[in-house]
Amino acid sequence: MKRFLVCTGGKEFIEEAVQLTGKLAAAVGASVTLLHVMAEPPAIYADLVRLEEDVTRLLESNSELGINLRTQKQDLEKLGVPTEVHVRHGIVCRSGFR
Amino acid sequence: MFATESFVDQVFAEVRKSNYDLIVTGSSQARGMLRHYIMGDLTLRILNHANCPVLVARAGAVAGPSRVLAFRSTGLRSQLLILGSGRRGDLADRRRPRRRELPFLSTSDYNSRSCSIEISRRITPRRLGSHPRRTLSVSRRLAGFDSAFAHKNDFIRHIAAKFFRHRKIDIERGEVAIV
Repeated sequence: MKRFLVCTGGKEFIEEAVQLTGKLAAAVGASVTLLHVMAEPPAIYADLVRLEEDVTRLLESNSELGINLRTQKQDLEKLGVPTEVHVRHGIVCRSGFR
Repeated sequence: MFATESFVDQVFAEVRKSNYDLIVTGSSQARGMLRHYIMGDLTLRILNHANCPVLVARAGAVAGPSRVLAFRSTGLRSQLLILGSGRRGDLADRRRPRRRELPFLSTSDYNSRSCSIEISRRITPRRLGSHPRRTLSVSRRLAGFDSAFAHKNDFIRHIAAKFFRHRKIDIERGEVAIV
């Protein structure tokens, strides 16, 4: 096992999972990708979307999401685990009700 | 069900793209049928659709230490009332103690060969004495009691440190503060 994917909502709820993953990844020498799927906001927040799609800017920002992802990344790297952050775009209402 | 599919699609698109060996996710924060219906359960969907191992880490709601204990002495019995639920650990409880779930802990004679610790949950201070209890009996050896305690506060410190994993405990005016 060389690559782990952690699905993070960008909140503190995932911290325990990140810590657990870090220990596992450090033990087996795996790398970790933190994946955050964000909802598409209204068009007037297009700048916000661009900010969040630019992972580097996002991680440097002081937004809650940026801070949490940055902290999670740093926590993993402290354990010696190579860590990437990926952000994807999910459309909330595409599927509607089922 | 609200559309959580697209989020899951994005997760699996990422998995397919980079060939991951393990997906790690937290457990659902939704509690109750209505909340599950409204919020959906991404974790369950990932579990049901993944083609690789999935690790679900329990998020929150973990029994653990609390921060502040209120202490009162009733004759020979020492009682510890834990303020805060202890469900999410120190930091969360420090910000927002959940007073509806107060584990209750009382101890028998602290210098006897074995002591019993009674723990019950979901009580409030007003309902002390009328709540169901479950008793955990521990021997002195199992609990690591190497010597007799000079004062019951020493025993309380020991118990709190042993079972609540705190190191520094201040007892003052009937309250036990765990730092």
